Amino acid sequence: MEATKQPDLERPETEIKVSELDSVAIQRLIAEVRSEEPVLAGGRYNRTYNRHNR
Amino acid sequence: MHQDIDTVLVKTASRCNLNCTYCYVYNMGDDGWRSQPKRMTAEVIDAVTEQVGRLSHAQAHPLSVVMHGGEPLLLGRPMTERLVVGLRKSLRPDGGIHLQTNGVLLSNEFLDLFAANDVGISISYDGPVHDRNRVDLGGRGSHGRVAEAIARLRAHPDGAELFSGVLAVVDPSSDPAEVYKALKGTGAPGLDFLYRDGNHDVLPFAKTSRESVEYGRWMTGLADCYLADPEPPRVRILDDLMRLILGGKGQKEGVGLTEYGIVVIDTDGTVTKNDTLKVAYAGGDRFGAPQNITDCDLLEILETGEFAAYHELQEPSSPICRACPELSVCGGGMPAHRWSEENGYGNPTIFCADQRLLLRHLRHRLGVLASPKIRTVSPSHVTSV
Repeated sequence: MEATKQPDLERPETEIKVSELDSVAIQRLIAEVRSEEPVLAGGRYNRTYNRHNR
Repeated sequence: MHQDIDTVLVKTASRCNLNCTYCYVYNMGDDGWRSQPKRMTAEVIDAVTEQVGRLSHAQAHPLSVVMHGGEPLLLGRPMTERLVVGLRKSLRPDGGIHLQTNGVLLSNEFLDLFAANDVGISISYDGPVHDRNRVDLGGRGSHGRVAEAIARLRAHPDGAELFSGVLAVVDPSSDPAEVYKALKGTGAPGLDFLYRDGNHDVLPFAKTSRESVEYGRWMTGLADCYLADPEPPRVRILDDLMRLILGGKGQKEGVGLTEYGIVVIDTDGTVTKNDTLKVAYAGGDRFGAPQNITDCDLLEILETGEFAAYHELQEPSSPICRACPELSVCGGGMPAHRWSEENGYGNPTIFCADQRLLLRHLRHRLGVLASPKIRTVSPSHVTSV
């Protein structure tokens, strides 16, 4: 099995080291995932539940 | 009990004042619009406000109503006022009302109405390549008129609250950096991008084969611009994919495995499936037993077996998708993009190779590797050092 050849992928090396990720967009997303709440940038588009992809 | 509805798409006008070459409503083989009235009548509008309001109170979480078309502003201001004022009265307070418009008719009178009724506005705008496809019925580009509408929206006293975002369609021959710069330059807080529609029988524009990656390559270029921007707006599709990679949740259909409830009310009041299913085949968005909002109970329609079967389409059925380590992030794409005459919706998305390229790129940028066993990281794995 491929997975047994790559045991490192199953350890916490998948942790994200924030200091390595200086992208503002990534930092913002990490904060969202930590808080489990989307952070709103403004406007109303993401405040409510428009899921339609058009 | 049915799946909660997230989005009710209301086709307030069946015609459009533009004729965009890539439009899935008019230029993908479905001509259902021809048999629709041009505009929604007062009778249908009143039925929509009453029934959708009742639905919003009957379910656990809020829903949004999206005015859509055609061009929804062709409904005219008085009838649009009837709709949005009616919805504001009938919806629960946390319900959303949105407008997806090409912007050409977005006057200050409309803006005042939307400001008074808490309506979020998203404008379709393709930036520097806008006029390649977004032309009027005489073939003239609409860029100038749309740019004026965006300026009008931004100049409105409530413009910052009204302006939700701009929505662009990817042209793989364009420069993603130029497109990103132009869309960011609109001042919109959110940008979103759609792929050109197609399926396994009719390849999307500029895609040379099922295995080709024209869209994936373009999106990686866009992602690089976005991730390097010190003051980035939101890019909804990229945020959704990266949030899912990080173990969070997506917010729109077509990515991830969250189930979304989407129902459409056509201009004559007919209740239909997601209108994007027109891309699969003509009439793909229609229920076998059509019902009209004026003489049926919307809640009962949502309880039918046919609605449940439509809802289940969201989860990909292809064995390739089911075995794919990226399934929880990709979600199999839009159902319409999985279609072939031979297998129905039982294929991976026609953009499968593009998505794999993009996800590999995003994972690299995030430092989160894909694994057959660990597909995402949980929030607890996101640590500071």
